[in-house]
Amino acid sequence: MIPIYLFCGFLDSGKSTLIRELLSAYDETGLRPLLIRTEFGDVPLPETEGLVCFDLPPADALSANSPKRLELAQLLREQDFSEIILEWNGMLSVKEAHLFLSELGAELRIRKIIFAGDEARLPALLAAPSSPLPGWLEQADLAVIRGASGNPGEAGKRRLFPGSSYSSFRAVRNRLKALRPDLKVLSAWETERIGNEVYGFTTPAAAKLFLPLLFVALLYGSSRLWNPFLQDWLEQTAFRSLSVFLQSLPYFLLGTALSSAIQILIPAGLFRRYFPQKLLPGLFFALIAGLFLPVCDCASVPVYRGLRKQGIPAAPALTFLLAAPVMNPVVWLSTLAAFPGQPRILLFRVGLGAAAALLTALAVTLLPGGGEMELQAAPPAFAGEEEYSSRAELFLSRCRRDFFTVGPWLLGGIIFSSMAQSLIRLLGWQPSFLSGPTGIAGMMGLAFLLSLCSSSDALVASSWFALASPPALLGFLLFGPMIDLKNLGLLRGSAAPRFILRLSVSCFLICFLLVFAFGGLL
Amino acid sequence: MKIKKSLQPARLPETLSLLGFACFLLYLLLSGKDRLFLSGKSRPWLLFAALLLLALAAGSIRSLFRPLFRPRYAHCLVLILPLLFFFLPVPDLRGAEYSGHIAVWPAEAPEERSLPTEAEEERIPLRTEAAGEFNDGSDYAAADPDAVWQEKRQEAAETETAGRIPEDGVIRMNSENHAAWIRALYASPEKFEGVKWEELAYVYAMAPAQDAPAAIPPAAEPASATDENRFAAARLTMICCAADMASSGIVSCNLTGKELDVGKYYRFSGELRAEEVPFGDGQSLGPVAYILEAAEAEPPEPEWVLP
Repeated sequence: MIPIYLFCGFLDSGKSTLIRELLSAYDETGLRPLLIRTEFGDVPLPETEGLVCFDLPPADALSANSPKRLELAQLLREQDFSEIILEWNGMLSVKEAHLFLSELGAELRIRKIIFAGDEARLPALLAAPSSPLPGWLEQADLAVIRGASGNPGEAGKRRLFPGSSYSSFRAVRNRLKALRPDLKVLSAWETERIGNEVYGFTTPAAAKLFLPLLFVALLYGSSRLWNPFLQDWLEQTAFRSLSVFLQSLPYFLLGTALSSAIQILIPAGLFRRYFPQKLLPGLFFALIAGLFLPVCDCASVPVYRGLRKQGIPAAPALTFLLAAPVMNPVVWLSTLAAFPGQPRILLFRVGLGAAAALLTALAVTLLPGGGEMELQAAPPAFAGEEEYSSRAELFLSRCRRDFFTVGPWLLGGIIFSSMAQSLIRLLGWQPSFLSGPTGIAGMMGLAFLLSLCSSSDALVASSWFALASPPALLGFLLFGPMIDLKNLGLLRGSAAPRFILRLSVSCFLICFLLVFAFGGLL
Repeated sequence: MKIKKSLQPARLPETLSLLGFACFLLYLLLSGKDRLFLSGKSRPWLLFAALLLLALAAGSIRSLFRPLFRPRYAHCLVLILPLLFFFLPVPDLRGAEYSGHIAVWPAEAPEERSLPTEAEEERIPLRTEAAGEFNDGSDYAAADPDAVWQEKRQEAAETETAGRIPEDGVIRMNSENHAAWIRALYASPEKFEGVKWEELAYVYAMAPAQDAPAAIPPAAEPASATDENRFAAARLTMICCAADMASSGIVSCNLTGKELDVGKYYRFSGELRAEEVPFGDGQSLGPVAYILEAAEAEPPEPEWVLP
């Protein structure tokens, strides 16, 4: 089986230079790579020992019966290569690359996909419709970004002020991370790190599934042998986790389904058309929209980004961003289910949530220094979605994607919460530490860390009832849906760190003060 | 140019995990094992989740034939891990080690609970055995007397759980009426002074049984020496799911003379008093049971009650 390193990117994005630099390390390794080029720039061919280079025009790459393709297939049959380096034309899609490789008839496996991009042109390409770029970014293992002003050097790396090369690289990196949070993004001058990423050890996908399972099995198995306390803790954690997960799952699925339906079924320009441009009507409209639109916090960030991009003023857009996850109908249902017979908790949650959203949005945007943020293009459609023949199929696909993307955060939050609860119970700690101002702040901090879905966090909060005072629980219910670790990751693709910091701190303080002032009435 | 459609094994884990978890949910519902984790009101939601997961699994069947360039499996852990948790032993959640306050119910504050009014109590029919008629004067001769009697007794029994002292003067708490009785007892403990009480419950957070009083103190003079051997005769109570399980019960004082094991179930019988008991952040007037008999017993099935 011959491993393939696939380099993709648009013309003059730095692919050839990158390949040339990487191949320079091949000398004296005894490896015999084959370089297939579907694009020919000004960069001279590398002079690597043992390197075989094959030029294949894009038209030939797409035609299975072209003479060049047949020649390439014959070359692969006749000669042994240690690996293939494929320089792929960025205008051709992932699907076409896969087809090309599958039709070569040899034992070929893509080992790494490296996307090369130019930081000056990438933002425009990201926003362009029908671009194959999203597909590449979805599949890439590594993105290498070439700076507009070349290598900034170590001094440039440390210059973070706007306009410097490194800050513009960071801006591009953040935008890519917003699309694929797990995508590794490096600057083109980090050659050593690029080499390590390309040729270093890669954990196989199957191992990523089985290693955590093996770890849990070993931990539990060993605890049975030598630590009954650990065994108790693990069993209680597992039991509570499963219980809360089963309780949260329907609401999480409902939230995911509704969010997907809104994103797919509601036309993109509808919000802009009906959103008032004046401040007060805009704020009111944002609250009403937040009250009735069933979008959880995972969906409100993309909606917020779309609203800002369409020219909606920052204050109403932020109000919607913060209010929707804490006020929407799904939250109503789950809060009522979690706290049966206690409609006051729901009323306080919705009422104080609206107040906190309004005050935070005004504080962040109207106070001196606030307001301007670094916006980016709306996220492009996911690769492959255009292949779905019906809206129903697209809807189910989006549901699955959202479920598996956000679900791990939910499960992680549940397990973390269950671990803490089980520990508290096993150690016999008094619950009074989660009352008073410290309790409110503590539960708000916990909500931030747990990053639970707003459609199901009430059920998790209800499990803390014996361990936290009602105001502390209210702090958990209020702050968690507005700002948490998961939201920050999503927001990072839309706004500058300073803005996010200001938003988070303002929201925390306002929620705390509101809960401290009114939580006692619960 | 079309890619040949062939099954992509790398896509199978996602579909199988969706399908597997949907089947797991259906199994829980059909076997009744969902009650191990959730209260009954979650059953329709669980069915909804199972159906939606089945729909997602069905929707992913076509994608099984789409090429997958970058296999990912770890995301399936979100369904696989909870599934594996199911196979771990059910832990003891009685919280015997936990010496916190006794939970009554978060659903209602004690001051909001109410007993039947005098007028309501008068409407509860009681059979006057000697005369063979109901004390509310209703005419049972026109119908099957036994049927009417059963119906009225059922109605009366339901009212009993809201705090009415039974005819024989013994409050018998069980899985069905535990929650209602706890509410009633904590709402007006003084109404149950001197009333006999029985329940199968476990020993929760007990202090060492030393300096126990020899007898039940007079109602007007609560025993001060009983703090050290007080415990709670408790039942586990599930509010929404097993994670919010809390012990709810009656503060008790062991007068049996024998040592009770923390966490074990006993069939208790004794007499009730109204005294200051720990509640929330402080003390509140609540029921205290002076235990006269405690017979070791097996845990009830199911072990927890619903509020």
